[in-house]
Amino acid sequence: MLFRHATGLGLRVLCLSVFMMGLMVADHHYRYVNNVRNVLSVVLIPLQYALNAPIQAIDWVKMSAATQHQLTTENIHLKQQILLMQVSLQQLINMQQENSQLRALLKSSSRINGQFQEAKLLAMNLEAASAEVVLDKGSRDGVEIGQVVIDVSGVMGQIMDVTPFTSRLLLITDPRSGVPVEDDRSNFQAIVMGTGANMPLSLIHVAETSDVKVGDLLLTSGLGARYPEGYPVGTVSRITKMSGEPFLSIAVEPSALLEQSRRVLIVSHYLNDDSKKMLYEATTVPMKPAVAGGTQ
Amino acid sequence: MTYRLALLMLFSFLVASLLQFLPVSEVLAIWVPQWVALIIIYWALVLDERFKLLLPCFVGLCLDVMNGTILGQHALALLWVSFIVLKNGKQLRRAGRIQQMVEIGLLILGYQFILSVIQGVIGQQLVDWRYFAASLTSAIIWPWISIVLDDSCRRFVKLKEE
Repeated sequence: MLFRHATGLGLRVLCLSVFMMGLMVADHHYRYVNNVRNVLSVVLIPLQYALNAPIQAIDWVKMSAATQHQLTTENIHLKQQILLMQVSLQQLINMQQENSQLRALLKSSSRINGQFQEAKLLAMNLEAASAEVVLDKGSRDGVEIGQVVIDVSGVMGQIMDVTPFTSRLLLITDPRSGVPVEDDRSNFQAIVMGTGANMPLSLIHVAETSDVKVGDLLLTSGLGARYPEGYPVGTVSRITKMSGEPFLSIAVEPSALLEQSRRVLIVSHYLNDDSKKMLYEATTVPMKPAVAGGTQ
Repeated sequence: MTYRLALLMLFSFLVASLLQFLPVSEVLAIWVPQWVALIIIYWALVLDERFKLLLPCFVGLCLDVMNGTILGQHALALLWVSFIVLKNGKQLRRAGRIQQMVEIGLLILGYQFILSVIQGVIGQQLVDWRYFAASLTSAIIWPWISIVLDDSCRRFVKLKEE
């Protein structure tokens, strides 16, 4: 210690408190101390996996306790599912071709197929009030901040923090999360915000005259270039009109099984070079003066 | 500090963090005691002057990384809690079992209050009152923690005879 001889307890606590507050400011405002975080997170990896062990053990016991009869029925069921999916896939391939031809006719950018990477949730009881979960893939596996995570039934959220072996997923239910969406029925566009863990989402800034009904499916609209286009986000579950408020208050039930999904997919590089260029140009074109177009 | 004591401390923190982060259902989650903070309080009480202030700082930073909160949040809260324990060690040790439980409960309440204030200041979602339910369970669990750790100290470290 620096002040071994003369300092009392209070002074040492004060020094350390000041240091901790400085650390908090550095972390919150400038992200200077990500190295500290990375090093500590590597140290803590055994703990995270140890926490996951009981759940894996339960899964394993379930597997090994299953009878042959159960397994055969499950197998038959899965085969049926595969058959059905392959049939609908045939139609999909046809439709994709048609779609790309139509888009070529319209000279609009082609839709991009994302590449997926599978990841698993690490089970943890996080104390933070925010809606976050930890995934078992990190920067070593090529995960980057901002990548979108989906599960079998819809959008789950985006990666907000990456350490070498794990990453942190901000769920769409978190108040900091906003997803640009489009009504599947009416093509009305708006933004879905989270309101807190285990709470319904909220479709914001929707005027009373807008075409949104209960039961509408909301898909990602692809605006904002963060979430890829066309993935289900949620269904409208309740529309209430508040007197005196300019906008409707609309509750949306998330499509993704946020609490139940254990296996998820990380979408990587869904933008191809063309659309990246287009986006770049769209956002960096210098603003023309307003009078230029009007009079001449 | 003997190496056996260091080993016991490390082990106690490992068990505590396993218990704290063990995934439980949403209903139970708010009742999970603040295991790590309780262990810090225990060692601050027992070691008294030999307790190093860098310990709560390091443990707190680990908690921050695990929870995904800003670095220093848990460290600061744990630092202040151990400061209070070190300042009032004599009274706390002399208190009866029930009184000790109440005091520990209040300490954990203060710990959670510091955490929620920091979260509020940096503009994250504020917690509701149910968040503080954990201080009640922490107070209830405290006598068992102190009995188990006292016992393992006596057998494993022979701290009391030193």
